[in-house]
Order: sequence, then structure tokens, then C-alpha cells
Amino acid sequence: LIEALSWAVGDELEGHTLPPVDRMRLITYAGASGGFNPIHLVDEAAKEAGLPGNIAHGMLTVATMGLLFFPYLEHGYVKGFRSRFLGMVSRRRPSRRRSGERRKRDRGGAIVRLRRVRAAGG
Amino acid sequence: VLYERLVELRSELVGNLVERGAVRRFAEAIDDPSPLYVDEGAAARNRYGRIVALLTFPRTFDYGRIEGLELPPAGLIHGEFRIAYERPLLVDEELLRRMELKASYDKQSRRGLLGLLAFERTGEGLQGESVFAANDIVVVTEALRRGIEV
Repeated sequence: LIEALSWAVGDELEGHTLPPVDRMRLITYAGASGGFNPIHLVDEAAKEAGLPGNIAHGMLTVATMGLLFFPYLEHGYVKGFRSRFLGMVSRRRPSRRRSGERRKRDRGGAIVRLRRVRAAGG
Repeated sequence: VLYERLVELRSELVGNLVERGAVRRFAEAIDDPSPLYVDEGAAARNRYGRIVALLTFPRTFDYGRIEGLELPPAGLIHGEFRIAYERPLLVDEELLRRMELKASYDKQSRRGLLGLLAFERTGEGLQGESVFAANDIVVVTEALRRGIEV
């Protein structure tokens, strides 16, 4: 049976720690999403674009933000989601953690403001 | 502004299935542990009774092309992404999709004159009901816009 969620404004979702983005992740995501821009996959292409290394697809980062909701999806679905890109995620960066803080209730749903937190040393 | 004459132009509708295997591969690619994307039994117990697609899965769809729009093949920056659903996407359902250049505007920044393009990608059911709308802001840097004919 589905238990009702009892979220209050200001509650935090459980954080979710991700492993570092490695080349296999980028290749697998490219295959799953059809995003084959070489700056994500080929060292030379990243260098030519003036980047320190391959960067992750922006939409890979957004997709992993969605992982914050997986414990709750039996109760419903994410109706709206908004993200702004503030920087690049590079293949060489250490892991980062995501957490969410619910800000405001809205007609039975909840607006979740997500913050991206870089792990210590990142 | 960039592509001024293309603003409000839309692509032709493109129809495709939400493929079960594609949803599973997408879930695997981001290590999403939820059984709702892969396990028919678990999905049958959710309120939709079927496997659903992941939040950002609509980015993998083809939305057709806007006649005359030739974006530079490299160097574009993704500035913003948002998506709104009327209901979740279900595997095996057919959706009609299209994209539109909603707006184009310039913005002066420390790094020069940026061109911002606002795209909307929408999916509707076969009865014409809206299922989702995804909005992206794509940033064209000053260096890149020199190569674009407006």
C-alpha cells in the first residue's frame, strides 16, 4: 500500500552521493541519450575546444539530479523540474553530492529547490 | 538578434514510440536504482500500471527540424533546462513531438555579446493532449556568432 508522504516546507531530501564521472559513464550516457558531441568523448576534441579534459553532458548532470526523487516515485511523479547550468562537470573532478530542500508546497505537490554541493576537496 | 526570421517557427510533428529498451538503457546509464523503469511487476503496482520513463528522457527524442535553422556543430553552451509534465510518459505509447524556436535575444556579459536562443520541445498524445513541454536556453558566444548568418 502506498503510504502518504508527509513533507513540510524546509525539509531536506536525502542527499545522494555520486561516483566520479569516468569515461565509461560518458560513453554509456552518449549511447543512451544519442548525445555524441566529441567534447564529451574524445580527448583531442576537448583540447581543441579549449577544455582541460572531456566534460560531462549537461543533461547527464540533470539526469542524475533526478536520482534524488527515486525513493518517492511510488507516490507520484515529478511534475516540473528546472535547472540552470552554473559550471562544467569535468571527467577529472571528484565526486559530488546532491541534496534537495523542499521550499514550498503547491497543490499537493512540492517544489524542490536543488542545490549542488561539491564534495570536500572538489 | 540571431535567427530573428526563424522565431516562432516550428518543426513538423514527428511520431515515435516510447521504447521500453531505450528507457531501460537510460536508467542503466545513470545507475538509477528504481525498478519502476525496468521491472514490469513493480511498475504494475504504481498508479499508472506500466513502466514509466525517466524525468529527462524526453531529451532523447527526435523533434524534427526547424526549416532554415543551422546551428553551429560545436561550441554552443546549454544554459538552462526545464520540463513540465501533465502526466508521466508510459512505455509503448506513441507521442507526437515537435520543437519551436520560442525566442531569440541578446545579452551583454563580461565575456561579450551573447545570443540566447529559447527552444521549446513538446510531446502530445494521439488525441492531441499535451503530455510534456521542455524548455532550453542555448547560449551562443560572441566568438561563435561571428560565423552565423542571421
